[in-house]
Amino acid sequence: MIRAIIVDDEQHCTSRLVDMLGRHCKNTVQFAGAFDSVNGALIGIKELKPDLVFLDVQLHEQTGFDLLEQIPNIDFEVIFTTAYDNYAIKAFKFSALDYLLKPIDPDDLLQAVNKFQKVSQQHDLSEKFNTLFHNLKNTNGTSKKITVPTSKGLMFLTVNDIIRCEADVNYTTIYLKDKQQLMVAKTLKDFDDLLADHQFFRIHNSHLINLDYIKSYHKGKGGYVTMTDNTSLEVSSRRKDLFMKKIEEM
Amino acid sequence: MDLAMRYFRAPFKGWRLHAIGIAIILGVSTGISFGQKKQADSLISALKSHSKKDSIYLGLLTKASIAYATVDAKKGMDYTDQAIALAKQFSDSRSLGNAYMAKAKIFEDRSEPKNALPELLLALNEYSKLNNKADLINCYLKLYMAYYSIADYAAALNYAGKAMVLSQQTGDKKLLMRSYTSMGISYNSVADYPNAINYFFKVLRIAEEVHDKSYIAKTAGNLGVIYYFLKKYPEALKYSNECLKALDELGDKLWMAAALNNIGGIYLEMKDYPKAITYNKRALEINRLVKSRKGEANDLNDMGVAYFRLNNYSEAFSCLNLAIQLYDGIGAKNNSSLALGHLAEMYMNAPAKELRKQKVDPANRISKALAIQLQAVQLAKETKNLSTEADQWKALSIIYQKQGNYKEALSSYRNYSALNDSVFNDKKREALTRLSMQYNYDKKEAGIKAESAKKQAKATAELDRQKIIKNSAIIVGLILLISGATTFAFYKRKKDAKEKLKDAEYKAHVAETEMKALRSQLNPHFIFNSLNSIGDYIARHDKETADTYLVKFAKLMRMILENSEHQMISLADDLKTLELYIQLEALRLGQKFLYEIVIDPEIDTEQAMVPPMLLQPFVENSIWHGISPKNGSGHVIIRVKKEGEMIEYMVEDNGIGRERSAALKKGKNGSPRKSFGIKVIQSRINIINEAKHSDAQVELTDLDEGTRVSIRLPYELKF
Repeated sequence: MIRAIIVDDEQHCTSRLVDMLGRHCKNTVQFAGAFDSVNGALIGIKELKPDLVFLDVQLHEQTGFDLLEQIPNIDFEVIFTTAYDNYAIKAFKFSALDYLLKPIDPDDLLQAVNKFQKVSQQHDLSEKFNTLFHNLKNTNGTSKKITVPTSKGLMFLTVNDIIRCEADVNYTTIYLKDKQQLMVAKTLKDFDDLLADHQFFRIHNSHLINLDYIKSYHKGKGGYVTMTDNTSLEVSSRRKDLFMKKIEEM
Repeated sequence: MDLAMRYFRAPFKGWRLHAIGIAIILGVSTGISFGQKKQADSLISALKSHSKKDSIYLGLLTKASIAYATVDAKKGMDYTDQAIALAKQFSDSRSLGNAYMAKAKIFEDRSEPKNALPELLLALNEYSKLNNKADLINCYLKLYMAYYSIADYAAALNYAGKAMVLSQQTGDKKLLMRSYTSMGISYNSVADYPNAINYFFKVLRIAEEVHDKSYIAKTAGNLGVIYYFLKKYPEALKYSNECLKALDELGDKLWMAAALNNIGGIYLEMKDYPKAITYNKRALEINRLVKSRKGEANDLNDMGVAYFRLNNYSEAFSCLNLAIQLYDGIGAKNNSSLALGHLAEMYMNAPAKELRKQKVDPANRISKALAIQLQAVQLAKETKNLSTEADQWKALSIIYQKQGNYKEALSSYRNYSALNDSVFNDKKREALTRLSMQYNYDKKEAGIKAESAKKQAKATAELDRQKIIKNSAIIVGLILLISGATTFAFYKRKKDAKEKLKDAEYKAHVAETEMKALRSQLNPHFIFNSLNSIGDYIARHDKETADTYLVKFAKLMRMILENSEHQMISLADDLKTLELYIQLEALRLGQKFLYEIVIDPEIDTEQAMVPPMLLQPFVENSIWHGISPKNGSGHVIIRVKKEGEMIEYMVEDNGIGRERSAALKKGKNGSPRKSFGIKVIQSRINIINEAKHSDAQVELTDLDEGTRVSIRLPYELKF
């Protein structure tokens, strides 16, 4: 059984989740307690030693991040819950942390719990949180970090070390500044969604590039770009206008 | 000649930097002309020869004090005090009011609005006893300006409103223009742009009607500023330059200073810093000449920012410090807050060497910046100017981040984003779009009718004008219509060819904004029926279904919200949303129908781009008007096919068909209702066709059983 606690400052959110756990995860999750503030939760976690914490982002005047930061050794899995907070969601996506959107869909809940059972006791957990905190502190820069799952385990990359990403059906190859290549089990679209606001641009169905690493652009129908690592990549003719606009903005 | 000038400062979001201002000229003060030095002197000699201190003497004294107000502040103050004392003796309210006004004017000219306020309130007290409308309006407008100058925008708006109501009663066009302008400026200060533009349009209409060049110039300036606020810089530059040109023609140096500062501000925004400095220097020269402290401060502030961008730190520090000193002296909190924000940013970024020159230890740079930024936030809060406050919070958040205090950073960021949302929420954009579109439409319409229509429009305008003066507060819409028509008549003659090009650009922009508004329109019918269904499940204690329905509904709303942000989305995303919608309806109708989505294998759904939610209203019709009234169950089939360079969407049902559906509805409530959703789709398709020169179409076919709708769109790929 998974021992789970809920931290949420709104009573109806807590009772709904308790109700759903009782109905859909009767045999897998044991509900151990609920807390509505950072201080209450701190004591609760110490006493109850949960395996899993459902954590709301906004807790009165504080946030779920405040709670995590006060715990020196996070030895439990966290699933964040939020209704509509693009700022937080973006941060979770970068750190590959789990989150559920409220009102919570029972299917999504089951999926999250199953995933927890499968990969339970993740050793990379604290790294994930480091990534999260790092990004919260560096909202504007290219020094943001991103968590990517590879065959060897999770990797934590600085966004600005990525030169480009190339699609390989359902996989993506990431080319790094230090000539390393990583094969990741995510589609290029996933990276496009994640990185489009951070100096990255999709020039082609198969290519997402970091605009900071362009060496030159050669005109043509769509033309092609040469990156600083001397690879030349085609620019799709449909993306040319947008691409030129992006370049001008730089 | 009316020479008063007022500024307002707009927020600006630069690259990583925050607010920079832009100034604009919008005068509303009464006219006191240059030739008054002579007049004042002759009044004084008349005073001296008139030894008896009677009402004639008081009249002369008041006139002299007003005349001296602009030419010699000290003498003016002397005479006003004498006039006040004498008027009190005679209990002459009007003269007493005039004398207070003259005193206020002196403070105003010295850029001391705080001191002018009590005098104005005393004057208002006297004028209220007599109920002379012109005096009252004048006094209200002065109060508006004084409050505006100390950034109390709520009070400013209040007095502008009072002036407007009275002006409407008098029907005096000059007064109307002045009070509408005040309303526009006040609304602008509280970031209510649609209301602001609304009032500026009113001014423009009247100004064109009475050929008031100076007001036309001001209004061009105003429009420039609004475009600036809305981040449409080329437009902003164009209007501001037009304004500058008009002022040059009028030979109006004073106002030119503000216009120059404006243009400098726009160049700042366009990152052309040397040009920004050049323009601000020209403005500064004039402002120093005429001793406008606020103008001087604005120019210095903008120069400071430009120098900063050019990494000329010593110039930048000296300009900004001087600007802040000037702002504090006149109590201009909003501008002071903006300037402090820049200063904080500079302390964060200046090289160590430059900081030492400013006698600041580079190790303390963050705490120094933080202290200044906190002051900027505090001042911004006091002004109640939402944009400024939002920007200052954002800047504060950045400093906290650098300090490593991410908790405070997050909390500041949240304050910023909450405020930012309220400043620029979609409702305001939509309202603005509607206004602009109406204005444009009227212009175009009038053009087609040409010469004969012009006369007619003028005649109608004249007729309507009289009506509007009576109830103009109510008929905002009509005013706009006529404003469009009359403005056109004048503009058309002057710049026909130029207009066309601008029109096309503008229309494209408006179309995009309009599209955004249309995309985010959900059929309210659907929303409320869904909520009703959830309520019904709860009432019947069907907790499970209520919950399933609620979760799916929330998901659908989230998807629609996200999709409406984009002009085009992938076909895969669009169909996902549509399918969720159909599942919801199926749940509501108790599985009364089956659905199928058939996609042509030639289409790459991830790559094909379509406008979001185009099909939904048709599917809704099929379900609710085709299948729901039918006995027994039915089906809805959605097909997506590629035909040459077009993509064809098809919605087919085996419901009762359009004829019977219409008959049913007629029986129920008299006349068939035109579907709201389908109307929206039709206008969306029209806009797409115009923008892309395509010929997308909707076609309805009646089948033996049921109905088929097909939409043909150009096939577009993302890559």
